[in-house]
Amino acid sequence: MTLSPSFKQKIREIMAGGKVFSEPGERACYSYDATRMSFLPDLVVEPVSTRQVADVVRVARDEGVPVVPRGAATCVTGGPLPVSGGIVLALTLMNRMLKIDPISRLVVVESGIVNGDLQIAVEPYGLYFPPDPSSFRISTIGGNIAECAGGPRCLKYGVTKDFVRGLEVVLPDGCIVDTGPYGSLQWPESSLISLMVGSEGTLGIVTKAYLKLLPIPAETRSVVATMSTIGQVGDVVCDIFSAGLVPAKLEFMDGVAMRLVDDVYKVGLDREAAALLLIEVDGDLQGVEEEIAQIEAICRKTGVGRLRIAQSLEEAKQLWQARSMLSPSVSRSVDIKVNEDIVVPRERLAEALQQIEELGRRHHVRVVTYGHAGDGNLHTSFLLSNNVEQKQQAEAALSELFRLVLRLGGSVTGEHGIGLTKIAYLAWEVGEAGIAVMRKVRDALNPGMLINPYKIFMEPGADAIQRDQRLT
Amino acid sequence: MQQVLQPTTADEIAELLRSAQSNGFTVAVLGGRTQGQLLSDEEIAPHILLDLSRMNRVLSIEKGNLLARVEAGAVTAAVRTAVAGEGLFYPPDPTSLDISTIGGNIACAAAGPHQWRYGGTRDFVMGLEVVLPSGERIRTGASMQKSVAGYDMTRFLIGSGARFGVVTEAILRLLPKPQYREIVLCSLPSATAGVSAALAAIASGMTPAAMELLDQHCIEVDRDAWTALGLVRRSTDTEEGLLLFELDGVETSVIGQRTRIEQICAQQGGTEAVILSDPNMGTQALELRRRLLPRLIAAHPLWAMAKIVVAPEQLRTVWTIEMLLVGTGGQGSGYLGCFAHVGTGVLHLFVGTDAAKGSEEDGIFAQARTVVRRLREVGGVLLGTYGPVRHTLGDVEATPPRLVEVCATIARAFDPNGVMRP
Repeated sequence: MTLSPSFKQKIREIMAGGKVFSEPGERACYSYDATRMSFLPDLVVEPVSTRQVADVVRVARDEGVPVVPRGAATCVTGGPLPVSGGIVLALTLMNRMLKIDPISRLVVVESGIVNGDLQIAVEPYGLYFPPDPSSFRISTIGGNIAECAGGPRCLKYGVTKDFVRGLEVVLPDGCIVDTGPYGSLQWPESSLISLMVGSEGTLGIVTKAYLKLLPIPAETRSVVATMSTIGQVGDVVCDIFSAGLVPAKLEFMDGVAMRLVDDVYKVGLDREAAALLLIEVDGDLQGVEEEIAQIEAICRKTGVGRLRIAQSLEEAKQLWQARSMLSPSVSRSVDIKVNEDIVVPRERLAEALQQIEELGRRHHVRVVTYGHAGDGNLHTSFLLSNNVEQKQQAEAALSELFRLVLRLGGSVTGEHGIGLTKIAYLAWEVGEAGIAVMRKVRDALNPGMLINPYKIFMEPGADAIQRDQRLT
Repeated sequence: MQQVLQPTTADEIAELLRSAQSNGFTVAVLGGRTQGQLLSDEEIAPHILLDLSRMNRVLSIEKGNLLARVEAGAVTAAVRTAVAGEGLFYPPDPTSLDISTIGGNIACAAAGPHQWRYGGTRDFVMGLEVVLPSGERIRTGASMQKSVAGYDMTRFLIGSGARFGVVTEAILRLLPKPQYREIVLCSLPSATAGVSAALAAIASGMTPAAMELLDQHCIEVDRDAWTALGLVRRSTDTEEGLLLFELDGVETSVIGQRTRIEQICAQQGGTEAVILSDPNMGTQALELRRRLLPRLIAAHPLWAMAKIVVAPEQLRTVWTIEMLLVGTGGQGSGYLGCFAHVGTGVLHLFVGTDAAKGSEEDGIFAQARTVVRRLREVGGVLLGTYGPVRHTLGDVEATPPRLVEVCATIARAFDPNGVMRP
């Protein structure tokens, strides 16, 4: 779309003190996310205040220009992509820590603050923000809120939506609503907050967040168990919960993943194993020693192969390294990685893993699965060679994967959101009636779809519009 | 002419709502009527009252999946008992749980003492079955904790009453039942000493499952019962504070937490802590705490209660003011007491008088109003007012007008003919 010179002038006046980018080379820097797709925006702004965000949104709405909010763009589903052009509004300069209240265990931040920077800032107070998506060193709180980010710690502590006490939001008409730190205790503020978290930037732009913090656990203990069958994974997870324990992390890697990590990093993982389970407990000293002892007993009773309990923090870090080496190992071994983030009910975990392995074989696609065994959230990746045939096979495999997951009573996305890439599958999961209800909400808050258009829901003419703006 | 209907299936409700649409009736939903007890019927009475008490079954408990499917009319206490039988735990504990229903809890986003550590109803409902005002039936959410497919319609609906439809079923998230639990009671020289002790526990990094504070007026309501549990009063001073802690986890951890709490309370001048490790004794203590409000309501026909949230440190402000004013006005002509969930900073200020002797003009209501005002001056937010003379306490914070409009727009989209009463 072409923006008139007078419109651009209005924007520049509003943005005094902030940044505006209009050169194509500059705009290209805001065209992409982690999907490697990119769409060129017609203008980019980096505001420094909520007032500026609101004014840009208002002026853009009056002209019918879409506004696409952007954090650090680590999104893997196309959320921040300006598919129909318009203005990309990047929150990167609004990254201040505004207030820490240790007794209330509350922190107030601008939404552009990086998750990892927030962690560093609150650590001296003995506090932390539990949601720890793997992108935490780069992703912003605003992005975490848009996607309702999770991470390994969420088994015990919850996901982003459990930690939002209040929000300041710029609504699609430019109106600013600030719920304050008690928003989650009031209605209708709590319902607005609930909508905003996980709405992928389609209902408004979050500018400030009032977040709950927890005290950093005094102690942690880790154990790594090598499994000879997939069935043992389900058994151990089940038995741990039956014993009345909730570990802080319960992560798993399948045999393919273990071999990939061992290929690249040579860390001595058992190449014949079916799976690796990494378990961490946290709490006070008495609690962690008791809990890890009980978990060790459970693992032994299930007949797992190797069992290693970390005797120190250093050793724990080493054991957990296999988990963090996973993604780079995978990326390094293939041309293209298609990374999904499905969820299945815990009781169907073993069955899901077996069926996923089978569908990979049937479609001639290499599959690796790892993820959060404790809450059934699996990152299943297809490892592809860069050719047309593989891409087609992967598409077919993906459809079958989602059908399988839904048949087992699961969800097509636990953390990554729908964005652009899963639009076709949303109806499979929530049905047309479910979509109709969500559209009612979107149309009430964002009439004309001017904030972050063409995300989550199928729209007529989407393909043609995207063709015009697409760079890659 | 108002009708109370007791449907047994969601299809019946769908039929009812379709009929209400075509005939221009209005519909409201009843749960355990505990909110009705707290509010008075000012609103225009609806044509139809849907009483869901016959839809009260626990449909299934899936131990491996840590979930339970329940009908909306299921009484919360019954659900907790049913899942406990499977070694599971449903943490939301609104104090009305013996009577209130899951559907009612969902409508009000109810929470109780567990809110600080575990959360409330909003945090433990993963999915819903709803009949929309049009009569259409939909599902929201999932049967797992993590799912971000589209908007969080489940949490959107929680707390919104029956504005957007009638919840008929809920998928509840459960936790494994903690291995061990203790209730610890501490008597402190004053409510403010209780606040200090609780703040010290927070600052030390503890997060007890419950941390409830009662002032001397609240303790008096059931003095004998607390004494029977072992509570020893420090002296015959009029000031006193009671802290009730719920500690859970593995046994060694709980004992460690309890030891730290004993030390903290002793530092604040508390008497020896009462440790209730027997599950039945612990349950008795929690029931005693829960019956405080019903007993206050029963004793004071003319009553009002304010629910206010402040930063936990500001809780001290309550008793400083009250102490000053009680000295001058006296409580012979009425009752003014305060109890709080210290971790969240949510407090309940209860004021009441005997209707035969008193009126809302009485000084005690003015005192209560002063306390409310002073708390708002230190950043407190008035979350709600309850009771027949709740208007004496002041107005609840106004919702931002734009937000009111947004809700109205969404409500119109769901219910264009205005069939549902909030």
